[in-house]
Amino acid sequence: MAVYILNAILAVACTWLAWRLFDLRERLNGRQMPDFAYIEGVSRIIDTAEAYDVTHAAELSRVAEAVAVRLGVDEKGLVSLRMASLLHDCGMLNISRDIIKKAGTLDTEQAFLLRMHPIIGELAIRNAVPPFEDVPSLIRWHHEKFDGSGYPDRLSGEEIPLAARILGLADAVVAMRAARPYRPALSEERIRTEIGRQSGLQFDPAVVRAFLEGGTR
Amino acid sequence: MIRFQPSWILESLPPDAAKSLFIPLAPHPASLLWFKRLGIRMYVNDPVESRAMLLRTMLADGERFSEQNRRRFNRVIKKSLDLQMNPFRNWENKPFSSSQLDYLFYWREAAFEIPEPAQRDIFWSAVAGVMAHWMAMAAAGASPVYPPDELLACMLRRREEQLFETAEKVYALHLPIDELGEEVEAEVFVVPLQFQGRKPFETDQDVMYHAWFRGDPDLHAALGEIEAARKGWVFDWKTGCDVATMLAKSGKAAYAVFIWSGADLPPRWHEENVAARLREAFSPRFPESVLRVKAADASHDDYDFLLTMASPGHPIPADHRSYSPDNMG
Repeated sequence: MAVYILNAILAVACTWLAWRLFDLRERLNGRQMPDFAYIEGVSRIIDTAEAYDVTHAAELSRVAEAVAVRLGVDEKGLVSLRMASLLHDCGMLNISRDIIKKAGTLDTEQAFLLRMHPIIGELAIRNAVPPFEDVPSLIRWHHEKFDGSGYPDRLSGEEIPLAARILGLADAVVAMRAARPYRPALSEERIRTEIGRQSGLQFDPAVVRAFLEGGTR
Repeated sequence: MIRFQPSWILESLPPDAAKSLFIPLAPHPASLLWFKRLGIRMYVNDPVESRAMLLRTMLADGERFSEQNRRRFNRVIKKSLDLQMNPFRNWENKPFSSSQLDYLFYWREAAFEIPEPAQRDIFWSAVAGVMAHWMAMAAAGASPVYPPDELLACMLRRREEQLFETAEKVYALHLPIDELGEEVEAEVFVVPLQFQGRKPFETDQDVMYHAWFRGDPDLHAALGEIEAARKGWVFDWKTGCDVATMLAKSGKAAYAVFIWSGADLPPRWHEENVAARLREAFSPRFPESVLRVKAADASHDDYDFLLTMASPGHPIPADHRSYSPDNMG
């Protein structure tokens, strides 16, 4: 009996040591946690280009992360989500400001160009990061909608990775919280109602539930 | 499941190389709107009748649902329905509610009062959207927010928002795969590669919708019909797929492109077991090839794959992030 207990203790100890070793190696390689301060700085330039008067991307990142935690997203997933949140609209920097700031309705060609921004953003980031990072894909799909009516690929349901579904909802929430030239900022109650109305249409019902379960901020 | 990404496919080809595409087993029609928007001529086919109908209404017809027919569904239908005769009753809670099943019955039968087949197809394609919504809500344990008729009107409106004209025609076909291919002279042959795998019926939109479309609640029969129609074109883990037929169907294409998505397995597995088989089979006509891989959700080993193969004299653009043993490990 004592031998079995000793073996069990040894197995647990070996597993713990191995885990520590891998964890330490990842930290030494600097891949555990990127320095988000720099990325937040860049995200503010993107916010400015989009004419947001608040830190849109940083707030989006906070909303997205809160929802993701409630949905049980792991640490690695949270890091990707935070990166993608901060950089989600980087493709907008390549879109003409006349289009971004146009007050009226966009014509077909302008709307198509605007809908290129997730792809432009994905390409720029994909060419800069190591292969097999999922942040570029999350940037690509942050405008996809759960019912398949989004863009650029019109993915639907679980075809859209969970992090991109969260990103889409958080983007809408933060956009509604901000005042725009054509409307004031929406109240939290109104935002929750609007998000609830789009459950299963624009947004994943599970993500909507996780959002509504959280506090108002 | 395939994350079909038109712009990624175009990115893997030289500019202007894709003036026309041939897709013998099409993905969801909405995912092809990007190609249509760019004015690329498309020959798209689905051997499954319900899916071919969706292709036709979304991509080819461009017809709007008439006001007259819209009003028709705001009136009591001429032939009143006995809801006890609803053949879909045994779908109750799997996943539809009793009232949703009554609507599904009503919508199917009432649509026969529309005299024009194209208009009926538009109506039924909107029902596909409603069914998908109800199934997603049921899977999440959530209750639908909108009443059924409002939801249907929303789906009809949404389709119309996606209609637009282009210079190049879209040929939406409904033919057994054996009967098409060689005669279609498209420049790029595209195969969205699906994998064998059974989902529970209540989450399988293709099977549920096809059964509803046939008016027969037997889901095994619907599944059997779909599987028979796609035989050889769905990748089986043990036997692969019918690569010889696929090659024959590539016609005179300069490029052959396979796109697929895979989770829970490392990319190298896909390279060795899927891409290698396709490369080997296609190499006599398409000796050059590049496999591109990107992560959709790295923490769940969920990746997208794009295999571009070219016939002699047709270059494939370089991509420094392409998959190779050196940069992927």
